[in-house]
Amino acid sequence: MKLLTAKMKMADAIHANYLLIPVINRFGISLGFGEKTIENICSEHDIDVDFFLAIINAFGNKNYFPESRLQTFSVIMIVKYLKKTHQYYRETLIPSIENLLELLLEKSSRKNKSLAVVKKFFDEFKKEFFAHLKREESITFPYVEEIYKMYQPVQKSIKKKKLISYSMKIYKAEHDEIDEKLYDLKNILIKYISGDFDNAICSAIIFELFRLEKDMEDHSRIEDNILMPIVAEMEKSLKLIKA
Amino acid sequence: MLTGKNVLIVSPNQLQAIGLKSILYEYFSPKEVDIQSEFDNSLNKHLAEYIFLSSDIYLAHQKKLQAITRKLVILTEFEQDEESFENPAMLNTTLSQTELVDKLETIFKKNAGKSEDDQNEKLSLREIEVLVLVARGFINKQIADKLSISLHTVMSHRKNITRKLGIKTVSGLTMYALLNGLIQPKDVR
Repeated sequence: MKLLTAKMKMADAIHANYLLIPVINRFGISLGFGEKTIENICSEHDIDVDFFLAIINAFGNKNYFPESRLQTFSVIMIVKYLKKTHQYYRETLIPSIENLLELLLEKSSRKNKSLAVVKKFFDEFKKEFFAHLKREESITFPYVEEIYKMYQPVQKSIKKKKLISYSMKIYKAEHDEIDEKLYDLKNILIKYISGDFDNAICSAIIFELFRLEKDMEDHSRIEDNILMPIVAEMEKSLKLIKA
Repeated sequence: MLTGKNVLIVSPNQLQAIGLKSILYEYFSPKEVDIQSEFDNSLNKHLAEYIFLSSDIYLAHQKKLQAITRKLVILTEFEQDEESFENPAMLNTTLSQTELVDKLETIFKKNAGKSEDDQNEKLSLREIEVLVLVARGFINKQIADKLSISLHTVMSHRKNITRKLGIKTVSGLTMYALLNGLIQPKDVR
């Protein structure tokens, strides 16, 4: 995939990879870029252009992931981006899949019981997925922000609050579990759906599931390979965890 | 073929190694492709089924490499008089992309075990029995007791079910069983 740079027009970046549209939306950037460059738009929105470029270049690009560079960005910036990603899943992508599923049930023959089974599995997946997002927002992210505050040299004199001992490792396992469920859902729709059903809607659902999978892959990669190592490093120097 | 298998490329020429890696990912479906720039003794422990080596590394460590029971492919820069596809296979890296892909395909085909291609992907009756119990919410230990087989056997059935269907989670298996009429909704605990 073409490497995107600051002087490039934002419109060209989207032409190169349209899957970036929801990603740039997370930064508060919406369509209608005109001839503005990535740099122009970032400064208009008060966005760190290096961070923005790192995120969009690494997005969905398996072989390009500048870990050491991404690890130099402030955790606050990273957490803010991750939160926006959660919001996108919760408010846009999952509801859109849900609507399509409901439409599928509506348009297909009532006799087709297999669709209700699929819907039930999706509901379960959604519940688990949202619970995971919520746990990250109410436990992980505040913990990371707290550690970051303690880590700032100026504030080191402030007495260290006792933090609950807490391991980020369990999140890796949860990510794997959610990824597997999503994979199964996709696979079952592709391989085992049967009876009378609206093929166009079903195809659209599979498209959306692939998109969610790709986006989540990128999201987990940032959490597991960027955020976790920075936090571990801070924990170590704050001696919260014995090295 | 190469589907789901690990590959290791050992070459000091990073550009060559990365090029090969992206060809493997683009045309075949390897699980992981690792790159090492030089020979080291941990090679023996690497999970790779195929090891690609630059010819100078191969020549320098020929003795040690002969002891390794992996499929070796040597990267050369010349046309061989006699083409070799089996251990060690030779790959002429000066060929065009299309020719390279064709040669690689031949190498993987020649080395694939017979069993691999005519594997029966249908579930056996025993596997269906295990699947139904999993879908109904029983854990491995209970399934072993019910079917009077060892826990180890249950796990091996489950592994095969997952491999054949491509379904990894218990709720996915339950959905499969429901969709295929193996169980009824009221059977799910």
